[in-house]
Amino acid sequence: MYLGGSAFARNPPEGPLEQKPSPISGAGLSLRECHFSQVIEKSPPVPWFEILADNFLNRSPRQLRDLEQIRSDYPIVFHCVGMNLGSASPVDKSYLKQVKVFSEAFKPEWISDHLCWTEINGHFHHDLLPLPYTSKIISHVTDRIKTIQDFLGQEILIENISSYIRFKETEMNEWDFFKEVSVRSGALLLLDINNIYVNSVNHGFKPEDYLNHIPRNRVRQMHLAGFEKQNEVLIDTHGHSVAPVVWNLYEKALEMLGSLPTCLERDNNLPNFENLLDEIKLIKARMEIDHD
Amino acid sequence: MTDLNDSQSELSSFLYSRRPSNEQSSRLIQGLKDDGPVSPILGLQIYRNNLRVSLVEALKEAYPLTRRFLGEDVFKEYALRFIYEYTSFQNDLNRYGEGFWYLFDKENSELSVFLKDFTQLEWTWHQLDHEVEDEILGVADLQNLLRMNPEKIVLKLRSSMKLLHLETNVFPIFQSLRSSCEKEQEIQTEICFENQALLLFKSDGQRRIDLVEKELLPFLERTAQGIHLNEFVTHFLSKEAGTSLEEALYLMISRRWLSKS
Repeated sequence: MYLGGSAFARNPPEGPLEQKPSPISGAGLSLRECHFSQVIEKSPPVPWFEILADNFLNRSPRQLRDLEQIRSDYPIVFHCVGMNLGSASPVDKSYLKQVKVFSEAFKPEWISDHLCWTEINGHFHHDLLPLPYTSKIISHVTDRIKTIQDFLGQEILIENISSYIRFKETEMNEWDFFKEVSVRSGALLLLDINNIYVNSVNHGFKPEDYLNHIPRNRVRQMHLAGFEKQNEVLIDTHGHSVAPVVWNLYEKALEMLGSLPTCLERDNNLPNFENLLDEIKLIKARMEIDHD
Repeated sequence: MTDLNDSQSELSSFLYSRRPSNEQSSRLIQGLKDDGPVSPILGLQIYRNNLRVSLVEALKEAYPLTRRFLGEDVFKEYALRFIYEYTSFQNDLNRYGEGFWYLFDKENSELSVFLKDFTQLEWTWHQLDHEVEDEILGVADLQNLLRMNPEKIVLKLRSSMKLLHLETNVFPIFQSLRSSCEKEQEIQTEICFENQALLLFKSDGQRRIDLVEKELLPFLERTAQGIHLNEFVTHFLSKEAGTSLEEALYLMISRRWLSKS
């Protein structure tokens, strides 16, 4: 039950968070539009789909018919990129209104976005740009998330991003920043395992340290994706299969956090749909190992 | 938060500069840590590359026919000029690319005039895909219309309709390139550009192009906003001598030009 983002965040419970039963469990897929027809025709055995909401906000009812059909057969969650959680720009209420209307029509189980910024002064970068990890930024982002949650009428999930720069003004580790924003705003966590690994290599920390410091009761969903190695740098391209090292980290995450709903992301260099289903089976196999 | 606005504006400005100055780069790098595997310079380059790739890909999606016409290398050069002159002002990348034709304004050749028209046509055609279709005023509505007080009737063009008057005859090449790129049905019209203009709109889920005499354009531009029937009679019938009101309305309705709302 949503108590209001502000009210919920003021008194975050330390024990297990009350969660309503959800049809979102097991291994899901971030669904690209090019695969819609296959899902409609073949009804693949995927328990849920993640929909990139921003791709559909400006569509006509006719253009949304396929998505309606999929929604009638499968539970879904929304994954956004436009909330611009960390920007110094004002919260974009016209964008939020579109998300809210879309959400009321399609009823996703939850809505997520990224702990980053994407726009400033009307200039959009179509990328997930990083923030310095400071107490001042925590306060700033927390206020924005509360405003967004109040507008949408529900808690959102915030996702950790991959980053390629770090700021000298940073006061704390990424995981502490991530956790603190979640606790103070009431937003739950979407833990991207690939991004943890990519950042651990690019910024020089142990990925297990990240997992050790994430409160189990605040994680609602996980993401898995592939990266690309360019010289010694890892780039979060979402254009490859999940790497063996990321599978290892995911198994550790399952041990520490439990078998949380996990979504496979593949945005570029798309394989055929059957290959994606095969990769989902690999997620499912790992989730079915008893981690408790 | 002024500090945050300043730092984010600085990074934004850097990302959107085709050739950032040494001063710009130094200021940014000074604020970044350099004690890990990824140097600040490399990290910033990754973000610059991400932005460039996103926007160039968006332009390729918006102008596939222009891209085929110009070839990959020339198109990419124009695309890079465009992205560093016209930043993205909205979240939806499908809407990025309007004004690509301004690049050709700065050139002074017959080809640039052609390209200006071609890209305008392609952009307008492409954007129709994203238009929400309104309900058409149909033949069945015509009789009801004619019974009403003419002063109360407001006629409006379809909300998706765009009016284009172009200087050059781009259509044969447009059609030829389209037929190899798109699966949509052939546009059933012949183009003669001497004294005609284009109406592009969406009807029954399909994109359409119709022709009108250029001298009708001022009237049609007003009809887009809504025009009372009496004005319609005055303007339209004066252009189409010998046409009755019913015939004129039927003409526009049968072409699916008019909106019910």
